[in-house]
Amino acid sequence: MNMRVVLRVLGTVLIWESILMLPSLIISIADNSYDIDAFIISIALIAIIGLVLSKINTHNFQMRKREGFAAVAITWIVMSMLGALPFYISGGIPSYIDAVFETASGFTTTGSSILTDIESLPRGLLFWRSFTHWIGGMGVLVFTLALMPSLGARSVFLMRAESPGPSPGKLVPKISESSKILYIIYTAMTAILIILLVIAGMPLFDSFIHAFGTAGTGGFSNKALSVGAYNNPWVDWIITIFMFLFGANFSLHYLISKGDWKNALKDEEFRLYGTTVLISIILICINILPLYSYNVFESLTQSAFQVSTLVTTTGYATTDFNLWPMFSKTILLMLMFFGACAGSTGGGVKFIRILILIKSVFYEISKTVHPNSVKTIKVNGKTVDNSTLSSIMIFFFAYVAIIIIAVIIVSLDNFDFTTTFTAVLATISNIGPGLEVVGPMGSFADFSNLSKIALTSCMIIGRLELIPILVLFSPSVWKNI
Amino acid sequence: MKIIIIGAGKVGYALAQQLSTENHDIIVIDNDFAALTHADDTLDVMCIKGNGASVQILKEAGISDSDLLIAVTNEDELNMICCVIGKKLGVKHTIARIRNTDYSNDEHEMLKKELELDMVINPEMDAAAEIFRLLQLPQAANVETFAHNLLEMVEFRVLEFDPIINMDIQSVMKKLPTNVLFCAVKNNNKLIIPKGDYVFSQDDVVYVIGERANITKFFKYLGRTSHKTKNVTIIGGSRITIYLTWLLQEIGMDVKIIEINKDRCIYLNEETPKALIIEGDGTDQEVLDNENINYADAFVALTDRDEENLISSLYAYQCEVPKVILKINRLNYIPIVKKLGLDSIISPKQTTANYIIRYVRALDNSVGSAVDKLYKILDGEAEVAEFTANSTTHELGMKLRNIALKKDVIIAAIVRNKKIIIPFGNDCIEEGDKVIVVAKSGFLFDLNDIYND
Repeated sequence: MNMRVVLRVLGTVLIWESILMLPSLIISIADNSYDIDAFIISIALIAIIGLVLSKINTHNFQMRKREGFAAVAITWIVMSMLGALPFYISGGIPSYIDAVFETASGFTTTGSSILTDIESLPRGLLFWRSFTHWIGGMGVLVFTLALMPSLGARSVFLMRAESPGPSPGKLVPKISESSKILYIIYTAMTAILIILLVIAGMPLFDSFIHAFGTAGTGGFSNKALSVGAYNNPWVDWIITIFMFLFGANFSLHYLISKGDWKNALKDEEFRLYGTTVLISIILICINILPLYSYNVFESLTQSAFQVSTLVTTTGYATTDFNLWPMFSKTILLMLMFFGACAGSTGGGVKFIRILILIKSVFYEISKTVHPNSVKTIKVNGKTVDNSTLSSIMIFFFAYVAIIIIAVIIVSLDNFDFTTTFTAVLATISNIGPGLEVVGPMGSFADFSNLSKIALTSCMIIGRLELIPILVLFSPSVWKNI
Repeated sequence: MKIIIIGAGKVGYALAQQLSTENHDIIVIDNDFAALTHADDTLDVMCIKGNGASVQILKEAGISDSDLLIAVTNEDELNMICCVIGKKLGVKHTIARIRNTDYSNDEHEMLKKELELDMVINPEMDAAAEIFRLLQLPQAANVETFAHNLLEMVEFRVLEFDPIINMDIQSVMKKLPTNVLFCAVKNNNKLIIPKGDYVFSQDDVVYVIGERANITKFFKYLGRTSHKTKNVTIIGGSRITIYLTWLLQEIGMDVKIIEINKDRCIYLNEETPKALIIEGDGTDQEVLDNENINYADAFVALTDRDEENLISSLYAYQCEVPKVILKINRLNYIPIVKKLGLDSIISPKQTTANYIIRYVRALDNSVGSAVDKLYKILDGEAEVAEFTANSTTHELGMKLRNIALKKDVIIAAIVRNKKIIIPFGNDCIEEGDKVIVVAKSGFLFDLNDIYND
C-alpha cells in the first residue's frame, strides 16, 4: 500500500475537521464556559497535523482500490480519536476511552452515549457532540471530495468506501459534482428541519442539536429524556417524518428535486422500506394501545416515532420502549437489524441488501422446483450481477460473524443477554439505544473499557460497512505484496 | 460540455480518460460489464450498462441536453444508428467511427451528409496515413504535418556519434545550415521544453520543426542519409494494411503482405491486386528469411497482437532493415518498446482519440482562437497545437522577445500567407497567422493560454 496517498487524504480531512470545530468554539466563547481552551488546543493540534500530512508529496501515485479503502478506514479511526480531544482536554468526559467512544458514536451517527448527566455539559461541547453526527452522516470524505476535487479521478474509491450500500453510484458524471449535490440536498433538508422545529416551539439551540441528530440519523440529544423531554406531539411528528426522509436513498431526493416523482416512487427499495415502516407502525400501535389507555393518536405518535427512529438507526426516544410488550420490542429489534436505505445517512444492513437476499431465497426455491429454469434477480428492472450478489451474501455473513465476536467480548462484563446483544447490535448498526440496561433511558457508562473499545470498533466497522476496516487486517495491504 | 461515449473499448476508454481530465461531463454506455467496471473504477465518469442505440438508455443518459455523442463501438452500423437516434433525440453533435473498408471515402462523405454526422472517424485510415508519412521520411521516428502539410515536425533520437551531442541549442543553431527549431526534448523520461541553454546528450528524444526541405538538410547535417524507400514488407493483413497498401501503391512502392489466414489472403488479393500476398506466419523467422527480409527497405508489423508485432519487428531490426514500424495497442507497452530501440510506433487508438479531442476542443471554444489541430507527442506528455490568431488574440504585433510566455511553452512556427516563419525574438504574431505552439499537456485551449498573465 502506498502510505503517502493515504496520509495525504487523512491530512486533508483533518484540516476540515479542525475547521468544522470552529462553530463549537464560537459557542463556547459566547457562553464563556470552561471548554474554550480545550477547543483552541484541539483545533490548533488537528490543524497542524492536517497541514503537515496534506503537504506529503505523493509523486503522482494513482490511488488504487486498496489505498482508497484503507484511507477511509484510517481517516475515520484517526478522526474519531482526535475529535475526542475537546471532551477529554476540557474534562467534560474525564476518561479518554469514554471520550473516543462518544466521538466515534457521533461521527458514525450511532448516538450511543456513555454520559449519564448530559445536561451538565457546556453548550460548546454539546454542539460539537451533535455536529459530529451531521458531518459523519453524509460522510466527511464525501464532503472533502465536494470541496477538493483535486484528489483525482480514482477518488471514486473513497466515495465507495464511505457511502453506504452495495453499489453506491454517482448522481452525475463527476464525483465532485455528485458530492456537492448530495451536500446541497442534505444541508437544505437540515435547514428546513431547523425552521420547522423552531416554529413548533423548540428553542433555537435545541433545534440545531436535534436537526443534526435527525439529519445524520445519529440520535444525540441535549436532554436526558431525549425528544421526550419536550412532550410536544408537533416536534415528535416533524422529527418522525424527517427521520424517515433522511433514511431514504438520497438519489431519490435528487430525482424528486428534478421533478421525477414517478421513478422515485417506483424504486423497489423505497417501497419495501415504506411498507415495512407502515406495517410496523400499525402493528405496534395496536399492540401498545392498552398502555396508552386506548388513545389511538397518542399510541400512533409513539409507535410511529419509535419505528422511525429505530429503522433509520437514529436512536431518539420519546418514551422508554423497554416497558412495551414483547411483540413490539421484537418488531423494533427486527427493524434495528434492517437499518435504513442504501445511499442514506442511516446504518444497519440496508433494505436493498434485505430485498436482494429475499429475492435470492425465492430464486433458490424456484430453482429447486424447476431445476433447469433460468432466471435472473432483478431490482428496479435491472439485473443484479453475480459479483454484487455474492458480495451481499458475504457482507451479510461477515456482519453476523462480527456481531457474534463482539457479543462474546462484551459478554465478559456479565450483563444479561438482551443487554449484551442489543448493545452490540445498536453500535454496529449505528442506532444508539438497545434494550434493558442500554435502553433509551439507559447509557453505556457501566461497560468495561474493553467492551467500550469493542463497541467503538463496532460503530466504525458498521458505519463503513465492514470491508474498508477489514482491509486493514489484510497483511498484503501493509507489506506491499 | 456533456459528452456521451458509446462503447467502452480501447478508443472509448482513451477518449473518456482524456476528455474527463479536460473537465467535461462524460457518460459512457456499453453492454459489457467488465469494460464498464474498469472505466468506472479508474475514471471520473458515469457508466450506464445497455445498448447505446436504445432510446431508453440514451434518455437515461440525458441525451437531450448533451452536447456531443461519440459512437465508437465495434460495429460501424451500430455507430451510425446510435448517432442517428441521438440526433433525433436532441444531441447537438455526433461523431461516428466507420472503419469498414467497404465504406470508402466517398461513401463517408455521403453518410456524413445523409445521417447528419458531424464527423466520421476511421482510425485505420488515419493510422495508415501516419505510417505512410513515416515511410516517406524514414530518418525520423515520427512525423506530424501542420499548416496544410507545409510544415513538418519530426522526432529523432540523439545517437552516440551525432555532431550535436554535448552542445547547447544556441551553438547548434549557429552551426546549422538550415532553419529549424528544437521544440521538445525527452531526457531520461522527463519532458523538457528546451531553451537556448539546453545541452543535448545521448538517447535524448528530440522533436524538431521546419519545412520538409530544411528537415532533410538537417538530417544530412546529422550524417543520416537514407536512400528512398522502394519496397515495403507488411505482416498482418488488417484494415490498416489495406489502406496503407493503397497509399503506397499510389506512389509506386512495391508492397509485400505476409498474412497467416488463407481466407484473409484471398480477400487481401481481391482488395489489393497489385500487392504480393504471402500466406505464412509473420512471426516465423524462416518465413521472413525466405522473403529476404534483410533486403526490404521498410518493415511494418500490423498484426492484431502487440506481442507478435514486437517480436517480428525486433527480428527485422536485427536484420538491419532500414525502417521498422510497428503497431502497439496497449499504450503502457510503448515506453518498454522504445527502450528496445524501436522508435516508430503507431497506436491507432491514440491517433483516433487525438482527432476527436481536437474536435471537442474546437467545439468548446467557438469564441476565441480555437485549436485547429492538436497532436500529442512524447507519450501524450506534450501537445502541439495549431491555432489561428484572430482579433481576440492578445499581444498582436508585439515582438516576441518582449512578451512573457508561460513556462514550458514554445512558439514553434508561424505561418503567414503560406510562408513559414520559424520565430525568433524579432518576429511577432499578427491577425490571421497560423501559430503552432508546443507545450506541456493539459492547458492549451486558446491561443491566449500561452501568455503569462
